Amino acid sequence: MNHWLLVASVLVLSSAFGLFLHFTRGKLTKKYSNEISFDQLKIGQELGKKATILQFKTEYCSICPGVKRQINDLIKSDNGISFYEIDAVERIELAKKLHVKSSPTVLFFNEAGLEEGRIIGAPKKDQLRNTLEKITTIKTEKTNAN
Amino acid sequence: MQIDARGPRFGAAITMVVLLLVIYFDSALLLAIQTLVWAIGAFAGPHKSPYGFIFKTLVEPRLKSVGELENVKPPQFAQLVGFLFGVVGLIGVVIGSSTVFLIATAFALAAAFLNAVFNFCLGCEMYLLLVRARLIR
Repeated sequence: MNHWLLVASVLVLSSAFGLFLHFTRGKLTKKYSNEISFDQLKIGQELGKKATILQFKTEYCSICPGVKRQINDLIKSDNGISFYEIDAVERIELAKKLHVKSSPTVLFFNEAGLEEGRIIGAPKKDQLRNTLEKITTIKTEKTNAN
Repeated sequence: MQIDARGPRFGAAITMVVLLLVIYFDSALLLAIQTLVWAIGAFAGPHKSPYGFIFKTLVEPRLKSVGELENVKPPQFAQLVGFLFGVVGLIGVVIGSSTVFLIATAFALAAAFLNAVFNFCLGCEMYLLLVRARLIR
């Protein structure tokens, strides 16, 4: 095999993969299911009054502590938003049920305990803020409709 | 234990260069040396590997900003993944299969490249997938 061809192939494929991750990770993606509510997860924690954030981490996730800090900083002044962290390996069946394949995966639940979306990878602070604003806006609209 | 998060990325950059040389020179000796470096990183910790030592003594004191700290376990696991690639590559040498040698080295090169350039830890990402597939833990 031509060694330069091998090196070029590895670098091109790795670059494409890296760019794909760069542009797709850290952004709010679709919800996977509204069939499982937060209460049905049975994690022994209470649903937040306005929203609930659930972060899946693993022992070998280097960016998870940073994401946890980021979320705590953002919600520290809002008592209506609850934040919990779960080790995906300790609760692997739960991770499978929620289609969690990577850490960190941050799930956002609305006031009714239904998933509104998720962010895989390290979220940007603006992305986190916008997502929370979106979820609490949905809550306001629902409240107004009632 | 916490270490400077820039250290493992610096180590990945050196690893990337070494693996490029391994492929270019078809050098089993260089891969054996790199595998030894991975072994030290995997079993004693990345901060104790030669690349970690270079970062600590030559690079870190010259950096103006203070780096973010991270738990040593994720990069240590990544070193273990690298070590396994290295062992497979060396098995290829022993059994006389240059294809096994080159493919294992190419995978390790891809992982080191992703870590060095995109700060993406392939080994850490693989961990949850391996647990889900019941291949480990």
